[in-house]
Amino acid sequence: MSLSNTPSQDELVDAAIADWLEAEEAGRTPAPGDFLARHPDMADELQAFLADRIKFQQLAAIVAPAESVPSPCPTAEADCRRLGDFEIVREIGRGGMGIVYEARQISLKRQVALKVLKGGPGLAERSLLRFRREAEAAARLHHAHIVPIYATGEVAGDHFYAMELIEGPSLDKLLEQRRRDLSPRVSVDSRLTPDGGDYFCHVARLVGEAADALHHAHGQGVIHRDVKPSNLLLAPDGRLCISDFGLARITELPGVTISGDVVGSPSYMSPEQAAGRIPVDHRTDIYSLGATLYELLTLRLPYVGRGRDEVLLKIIYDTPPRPRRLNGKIPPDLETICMMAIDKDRNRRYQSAAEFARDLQNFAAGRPIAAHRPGVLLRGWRWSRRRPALSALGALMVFIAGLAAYFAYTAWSSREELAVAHLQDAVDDALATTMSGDSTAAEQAIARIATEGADTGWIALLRGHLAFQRGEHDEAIKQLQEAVAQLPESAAARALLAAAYVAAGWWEKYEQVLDEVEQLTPESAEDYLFRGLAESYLDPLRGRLSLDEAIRRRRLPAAFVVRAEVCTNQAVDSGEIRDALAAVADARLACELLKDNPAALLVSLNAHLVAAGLHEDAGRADECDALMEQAELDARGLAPYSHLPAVAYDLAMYQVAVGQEQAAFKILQEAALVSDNARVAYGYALLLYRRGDFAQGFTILDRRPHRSNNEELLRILILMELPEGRELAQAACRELGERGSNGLAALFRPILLLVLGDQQTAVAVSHGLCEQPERLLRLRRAFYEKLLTYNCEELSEDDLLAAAGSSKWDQCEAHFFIGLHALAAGNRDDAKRHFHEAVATRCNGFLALDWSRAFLIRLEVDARWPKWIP
Amino acid sequence: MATTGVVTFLERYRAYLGLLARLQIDPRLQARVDLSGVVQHTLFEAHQAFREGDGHTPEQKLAWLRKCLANNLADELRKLHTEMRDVRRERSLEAALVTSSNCLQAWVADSLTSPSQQLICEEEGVRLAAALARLPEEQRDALVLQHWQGWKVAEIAEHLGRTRTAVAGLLKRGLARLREELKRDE
Repeated sequence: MSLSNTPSQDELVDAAIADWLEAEEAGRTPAPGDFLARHPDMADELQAFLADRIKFQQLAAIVAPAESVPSPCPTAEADCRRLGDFEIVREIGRGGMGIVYEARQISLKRQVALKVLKGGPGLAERSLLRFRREAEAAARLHHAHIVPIYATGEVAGDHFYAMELIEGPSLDKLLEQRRRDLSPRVSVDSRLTPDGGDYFCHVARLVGEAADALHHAHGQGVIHRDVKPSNLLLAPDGRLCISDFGLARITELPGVTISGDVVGSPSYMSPEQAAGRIPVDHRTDIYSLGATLYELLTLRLPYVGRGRDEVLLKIIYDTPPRPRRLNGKIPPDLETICMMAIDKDRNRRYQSAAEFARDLQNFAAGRPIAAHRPGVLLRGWRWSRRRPALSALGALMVFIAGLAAYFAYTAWSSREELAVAHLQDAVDDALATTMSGDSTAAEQAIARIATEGADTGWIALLRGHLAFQRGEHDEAIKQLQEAVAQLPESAAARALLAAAYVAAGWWEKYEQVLDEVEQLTPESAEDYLFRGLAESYLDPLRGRLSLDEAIRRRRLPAAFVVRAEVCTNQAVDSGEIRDALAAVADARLACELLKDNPAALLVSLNAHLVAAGLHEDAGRADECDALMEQAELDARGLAPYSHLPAVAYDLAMYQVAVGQEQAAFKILQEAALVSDNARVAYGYALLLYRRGDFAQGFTILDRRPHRSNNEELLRILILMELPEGRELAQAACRELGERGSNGLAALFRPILLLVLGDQQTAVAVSHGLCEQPERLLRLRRAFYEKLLTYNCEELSEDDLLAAAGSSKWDQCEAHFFIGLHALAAGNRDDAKRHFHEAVATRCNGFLALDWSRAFLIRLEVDARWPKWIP
Repeated sequence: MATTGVVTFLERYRAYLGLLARLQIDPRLQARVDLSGVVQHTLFEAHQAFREGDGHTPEQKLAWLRKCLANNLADELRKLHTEMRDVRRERSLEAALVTSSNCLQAWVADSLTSPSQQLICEEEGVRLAAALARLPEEQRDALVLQHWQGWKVAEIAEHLGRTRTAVAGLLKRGLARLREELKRDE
């Protein structure tokens, strides 16, 4: 209560707000700028109010998007609602683009459905264009099963069109009716029940009518793009009408589509529409109508997920259960028709809506249909692709296997309830956690799978995976050997062991173990995941196929991470933007599925970085910038995890790539304080080397008990810089030869010997290695042989570069080796040129690139470098 | 284990269902309908139904919850209608009742359209409802009436027995407080 009569500042503000609100009620909303200008002394308060209100309205619109606002005095208001020749009676419904009213056309005295574009005046240009296009396209269609458009127009900024008022319910209501059994309160509306006869024939007839109507529209160049039960109306005379060509576009008018918009209801979207990649054609409607048919038959959507993204993902990657597995009463022919309409590959669908309609009519009339079931052979083949273990049980077991598959499927759709799913969840979680290389979190996740009943083999596998991701190869190999011993039949364990071998440079063992993996039949998504990971070192394409299969079986989040990584590596090597964008897509999905998981963010960072680089090379600065922005976001998201070895290393290399050497240094310095890890030590020592701080770099590496190849090679390089280090370096090189069949070490040994001036041994070692080709990585063996020949000075530079061909990896290493030779010959300029070329390949994370970059810096800062050349 | 899951699932929706109920029923009727009782009853029924471990997706559960709430509200309105017919009280209230019932029907119909998209909205809705529930009652009422019920400032003033300036103040403070509450959530 204010004691004086003069109102307080607060009350003045409130009064101004009341004025504003009442002006708005009267339809005279002042422009915010004017309003604030009128009250300069309280502009801040008013501005805060307006801002709060806008935010609230946005959020509040979500809660009640579909409700009609009950007016306190209904009759008085309704009278005012008139649009030109039309008098609004009541609201029927709302869609993405507008509100539909029941209205009366005064001049012609008929009831119509009036679709009014939401928002009225001040509408976005884009929505308007879309709305007009919709009306234009739909008005051209005349067909018994398409809701006719009477008129279109605009009154005082309200755009509308009038169409025939179909009194009947839409098919989604019919579906709801059928689902009522699930619901506790049944109130049967007899209108919606098909007239006693066979439900499936009834459905076939209705969908056939819709297909017929679609065919007519397609013939006019109009694609509906949003066919779904709520757009299919059942008229009182029993005829089915398609309404709402709301997203239709005239295919003859190129360039009118709005790029970047994914339109349509996710559940009924075709895979090509969901993927948003290729331009859709009329076959997208055939799919959507097929999905509607699927729902009418089974009373469930082909794909169910938690949220839009998951549904889209499933549409792209999953296979829906065959309808008859959900309901045995569905006639086989109708199932065949349905599955043909929703084939993922649009070339295997009905090629026209007319064919689809004809088959439905054939079915309804009891005639044979044109679509054929996948033959027993084909089905058996598809079956074995899906469940090889089960198919081995033979034909007699198909029935039981079907039950098992069905059970497995339901297990996924209600994973909270089932113990199997619990364990699977825990394993998924543990995989994602170990992938991030976070030991503490990983141990917790592993403890959880232990309590969920996982056996010790799996625990060893996950520990091995953790070490693998941390770059601790010796430990990884130890754990995974244990896992293989306990799970001799597991393709996953063995494949991961193979991957650990190859990462550690034991190429020969890698190929042996991988051969063993090929002998095993992969069963689970995990089997395919790790097989894909292991194969990708040998043949990235084959690896990708296995990963595709893993994802097809189950949306294993870790599989997206690995596939993104494989695609990124492939993009680095091929220089193909296509590969890089595939990596970006997978990485984004991985981030979506694994919120805040450092491994996901890391692959996203790398994928964006590589894609940006390729765009930059192609001179597309805008795309490059956009991708770099996303990379920057990922890098920021990773900041809290920079103590994790994998994150610290990659994040630092990213900082180096964007010219933030100081930030990179700090990250690795701090990570080195908290963890004794191969990748961190290597990265930190590398940056120290670049700074010329050899003593510190040496200390870091020398104190590590089991050095990885990278660490040991770098230690030798550093030794060469230290006073009297030369002999130690030579000794270390000799020891490198004792690393048994370690292929990577063997490959680099001769070049080091060469620059150390021991040409004789270098040549002998190179020759020796050429005679044991199995020690070289098969994927790149041909090139490595050339590289060794070049080391022996039996191959020219040009021939070496020709051997590298279009592979960026090979180019990077070729230039690096040529640069080293030039350096050894005292030719600094040539060396610089080749090191620059090596860096330009953008093979980040490659030893040859890291060193080229380091050597370039040394050459830049020290005119007398290298001192170790005799 | 499974039961606790259901309870948590349901409790998250209490404030939200309360808000939905409030939006569906004409404010002038709200004094006569025990909204929190209806919400409670709905949650109880849901608990009974979901306990059986039927493996419905969250979307299905939510659609079920909304429908069940609408049915229960409709029941309450029917009861109220009978009472009022008996006593032949206030005509304007009867009009309000008709509007509320119509709205409810449209709402049930509409809530069945796109379940998956809805769930995403629902999450935001749950957050908003929870924040609204923490507002002082008059501020909350003013916001609900003004925004969702579409009442004019003068009408709200009359309903709450305040001046129009005071209503503007309630709206202003309500919005500011809501912003704080939502921020605290994050």
